Amino acid sequence: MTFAELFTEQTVLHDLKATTSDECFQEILNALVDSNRLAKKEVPRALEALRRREKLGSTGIGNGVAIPHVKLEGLQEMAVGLGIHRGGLDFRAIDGERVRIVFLVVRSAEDAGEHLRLLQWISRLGRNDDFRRFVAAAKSPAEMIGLLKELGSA
Amino acid sequence: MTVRREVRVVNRQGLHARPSTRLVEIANRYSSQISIHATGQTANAKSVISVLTLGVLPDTPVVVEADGADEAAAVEALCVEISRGFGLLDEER
Repeated sequence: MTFAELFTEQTVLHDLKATTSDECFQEILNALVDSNRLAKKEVPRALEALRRREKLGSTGIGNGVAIPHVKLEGLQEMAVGLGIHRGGLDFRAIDGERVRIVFLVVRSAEDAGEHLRLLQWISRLGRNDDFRRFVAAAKSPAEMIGLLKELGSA
Repeated sequence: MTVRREVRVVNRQGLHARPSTRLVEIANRYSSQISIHATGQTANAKSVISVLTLGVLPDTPVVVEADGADEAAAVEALCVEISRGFGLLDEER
């Protein structure tokens, strides 16, 4: 399985309405719940953990990309979502850029290698000029999935 | 002149997001050009997204290389922090 296959048209959002990073977490978590990737009862715990993680240091990794991510004890399966924000959100990213591309990861068991490979995969996409340009202009979730598969399969 | 030194990554999950961010914060204190070499790839030590593309696993050697006015100090500071897990080892337990 490739990491691109973790995403579905229900878990990618081409036009986030959030005005803060916190609202963006909620919006993507809601999409994960609506698509049955995350149990509704896990949302408060995930949200709290995401806030706590962000306080330790921004997950804005540069190039307008953020990877808010948390590990939840007892979770059965990893859930990932992707959201695009047209105007950009303030994540206090290390390079000072506003964040337009948000990969949100709620992971389960402690698997350092898998987590590291996912971060690596996301950062490679985030450094890919074509991916950033096209995903930020995507008009539908289907287009976003197409880009993830096309540019994220290497 | 360029200064290079090898050091081992000790963080339990390798160079994941937080250690990478710390690394970049330290690198940004120096004017030298600094790169990290690992797993046959090279990353810009002043960019988190670049360092994350290396996917450095725990207990893996990396080479820190700096070129510029403060190259020796930069390599020293980075190697010290990498070898102590950026002070994050307690939290990772």
